[in-house]
Amino acid sequence: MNRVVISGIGMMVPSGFGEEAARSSVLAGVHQFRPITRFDTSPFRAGIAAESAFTGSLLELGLRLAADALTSAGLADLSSSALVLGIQGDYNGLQHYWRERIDMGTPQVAAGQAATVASSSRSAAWESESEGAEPEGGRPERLQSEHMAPAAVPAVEFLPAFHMQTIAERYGMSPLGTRLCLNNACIASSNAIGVAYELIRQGRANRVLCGGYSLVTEEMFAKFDSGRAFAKDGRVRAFSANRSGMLLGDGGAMLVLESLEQAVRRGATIHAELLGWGLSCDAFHVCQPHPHGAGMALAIERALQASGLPADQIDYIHAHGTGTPLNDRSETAAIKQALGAAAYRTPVSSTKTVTGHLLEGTGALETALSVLAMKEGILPPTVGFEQPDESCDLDYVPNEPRSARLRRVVNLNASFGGNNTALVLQHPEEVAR
Amino acid sequence: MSRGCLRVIASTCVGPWGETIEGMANYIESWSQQASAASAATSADMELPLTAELAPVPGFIESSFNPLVYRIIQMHLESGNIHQPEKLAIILASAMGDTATADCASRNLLAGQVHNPLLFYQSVPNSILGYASRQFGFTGRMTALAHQGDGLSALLEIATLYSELPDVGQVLVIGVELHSTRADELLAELSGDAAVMRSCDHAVSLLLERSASVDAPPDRSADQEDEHGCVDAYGSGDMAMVCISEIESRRSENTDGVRRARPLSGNQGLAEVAIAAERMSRGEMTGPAVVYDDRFGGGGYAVTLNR
Repeated sequence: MNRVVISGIGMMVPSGFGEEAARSSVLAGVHQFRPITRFDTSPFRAGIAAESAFTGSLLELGLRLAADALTSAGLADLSSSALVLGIQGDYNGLQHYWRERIDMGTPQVAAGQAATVASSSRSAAWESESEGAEPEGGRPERLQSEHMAPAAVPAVEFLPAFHMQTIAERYGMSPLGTRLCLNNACIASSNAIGVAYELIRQGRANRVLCGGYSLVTEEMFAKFDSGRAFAKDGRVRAFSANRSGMLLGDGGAMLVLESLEQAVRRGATIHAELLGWGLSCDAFHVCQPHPHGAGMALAIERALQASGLPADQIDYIHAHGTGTPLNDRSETAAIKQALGAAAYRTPVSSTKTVTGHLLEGTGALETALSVLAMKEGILPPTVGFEQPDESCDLDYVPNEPRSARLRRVVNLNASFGGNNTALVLQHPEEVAR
Repeated sequence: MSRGCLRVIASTCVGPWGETIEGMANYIESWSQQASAASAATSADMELPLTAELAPVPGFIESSFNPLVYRIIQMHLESGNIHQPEKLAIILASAMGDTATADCASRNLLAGQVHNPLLFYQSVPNSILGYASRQFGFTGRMTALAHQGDGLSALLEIATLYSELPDVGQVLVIGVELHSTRADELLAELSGDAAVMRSCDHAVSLLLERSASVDAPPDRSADQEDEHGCVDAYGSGDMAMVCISEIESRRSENTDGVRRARPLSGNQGLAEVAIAAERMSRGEMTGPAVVYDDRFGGGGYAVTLNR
């Protein structure tokens, strides 16, 4: 079995591209939440996100991150590489598709396709439009607002696999090379890194470009807003007793993974070793985490077992830390179950308190940030932490960064359906030992 | 690296043809004949509703995506082929995803309607796997993926990787697609030929497990009972050993420029493996059988099955 290292990183946080942007925001503990300007938030309860200044499409973000990762790895292209992405498609493509049809006044409702929604949101307005009649009171104002017009992103860019295909072709990947596109929500990109790791470890690929990315879109914002998932005070206060929810953010990361042997042979810079990973399911609830963190604990235990490490060898846990009451309590319980007494000696923090939640891209960005934290010897703080919570009783590195020697780090992510991932990373100085 | 193979334990399907593999084979054959005999417009005549009574799955909208996936999992459990639920990995693939949910939510947003927080396209694959995991005690690896062209190669790539892991005993790969006009438009755009691809509500699956080296397959005659004592999914009572022995990357099959009709867009390759496995299991084919899997962009896979 091959050892797997990270030899290239391209990343974007809400404040910009690259390590310096991450250093000056995430490692320094400067949150990036501000009023959204990308779309009109007046119909919604909330209006805050960690929105970046990036004005390109989601696919353009993916292409940029791929280029940055390849450059960082000293590679010209994706020849002799596999590609594993963990992403969702661009909702602006879907919105554009339907806007064109609705604006033409001929919404095409597919035969045999349910146009109905669960009872609470079934509305006379859409049904009237479906029948070709103007909704009572005229067309909703938002349809007429120029502010609401999304970028004219082609409908095909809503397909995640189209991103994969485009990145593969743009960077010279062989049509015969392995390319996979995972879309399992908030663990998509950490699952992608795990699959990339297995491809190399099991000798099925020598090098893999992997990762994920996300931008705040109106469609996603509307759904979380409707579910009242957003923090009421416009700040993510993970693990704090007064936490009230999550916020979305822009960014992502692409990583070049390759076998240690190949990286050494070609003189590549090794940023970290990926020692192992775990993936598990709670078997508890469609959208709530297990109250005692059973599934997350299982993912951590599988990752430690795959890494051959005891729990007390972990120097830092980069938590999923969404800032929701349920997640943070469950995640704390999971860490305690998996690490035992060592949990109380292991710092835990949430960088979503700075970047917001990047959904599919969160696992990749937080892996890249874990590597940066190891490199700089800095524990990124949990920003916005105000009040200790009885059910969250670990060391969360509140508000201020802290210097520390980080040899091995665990990055955790969780998603809808109770899916959990844990990735174990090792400092490059430890690789030769 | 060991050169083990993936053994096909069972296959299931749900679609306009019902719930049998043979029904699916007949559906593909009759659609292909019609498509080749007439213009692409005839595909509209072949649009059939699901004949199976799918139990509703709580939550979300009246999309058949989740009920299809749930029914597939249920069928494997009913047949007794899933031995250790806690060591079952599930990989769920779709090219277009839950188009019903995605389209409905997008239209609602544009119409300025109140949003249902559960109309959450990107959470659908995870959520149905989460629901099934709660119902049946699955705590293993759950992965959802998107693909272009056929999903077979992507599903088998990850199944092969997962089957090597100590916490995985069996791998259930599921391909699911829905019918929608948007999907058909995109398929035509991506494939460059509207006549050969179409969307339809259906799901196909294979239950797989790691087997011995392909060079030395276990000596198990067709009339021996499986080591787990399970009854095969085809009802013949003698579990023939069918293995996916080779998955080979290749250039596009269609070197002559003639494209085959693919009525089960997204799952054609998976369906053809399921059909070949059943026929081999019944002794109607001696094998080896080779199934070609196309993806947009020119590449694909040749998957070899042996009895």
